[in-house]
Amino acid sequence: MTLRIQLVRVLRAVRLNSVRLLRLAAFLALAGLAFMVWSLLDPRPIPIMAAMSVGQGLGTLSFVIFLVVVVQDAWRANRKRKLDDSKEEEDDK
Amino acid sequence: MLALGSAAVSAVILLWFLIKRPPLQWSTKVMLLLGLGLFPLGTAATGNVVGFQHTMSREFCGGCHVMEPFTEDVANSKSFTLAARHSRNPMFGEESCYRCHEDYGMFGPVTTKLNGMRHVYEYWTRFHSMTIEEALPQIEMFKPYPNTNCMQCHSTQVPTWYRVPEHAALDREVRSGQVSCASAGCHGPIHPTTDGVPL
Repeated sequence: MTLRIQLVRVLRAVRLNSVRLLRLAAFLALAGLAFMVWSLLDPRPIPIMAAMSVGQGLGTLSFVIFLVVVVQDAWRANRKRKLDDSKEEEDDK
Repeated sequence: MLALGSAAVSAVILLWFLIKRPPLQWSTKVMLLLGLGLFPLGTAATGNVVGFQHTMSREFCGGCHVMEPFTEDVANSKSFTLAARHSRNPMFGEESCYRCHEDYGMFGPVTTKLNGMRHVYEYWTRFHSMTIEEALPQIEMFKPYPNTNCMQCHSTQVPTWYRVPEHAALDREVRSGQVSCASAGCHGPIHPTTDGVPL
């Protein structure tokens, strides 16, 4: 079983479709931005370290989720198009 | 300002997505690319620069309470410790802690920041709950202060340097680091506390 299939099964199990994943990514990005803004407004050791570790980690995670969703949607659309094409070919025959 | 602006634009886009719940079409994804990717990246990049610059400031070093005796001394215009006298020099100024304690060389800023992380770790695991009086006897350098840091400004090549008998006698030891410029009796102690006893 490929990693992608495993990932899809996990996402189905926790009912995380594209929209829900993107909402999760948006929440994570907002949390990450809050850490970054905190460090800019209150530049003390802890806020700066939190921004550079937790903040940027959350931001990166949210962007990775976004990329996964975009790639997955593109892959699905491509697959659907191929299926439709093959169906049309069969109908023509 | 740029970082805050990027963060604000990103937040507006993300809140629009969360509240308005637009259909997940091409245009929405482009907006999310801006809100989740480009603008947060701008905030992180500019925030990093601002953060790194601030970590060089004396105020940042004094953020840990056990550093206060040191930062207060260097800010004291009446102090004659070596650290205070250097801090009055505009080349050191508000960044005097960093200018004297930074590692020089190609990766100096990186290794300095990594050592700074160790300082933060030590602070949170050991010194955070201590009073300044309790902490001072336990504060020590991780490694001996390198003479090469002094030599970034003091070339030690000029004839006047060799005219000092101790310099001429200990030339090899000073250059090899066997004798520290900051030794007591030479130019140390640099800060107003030794073994936790305020001078």
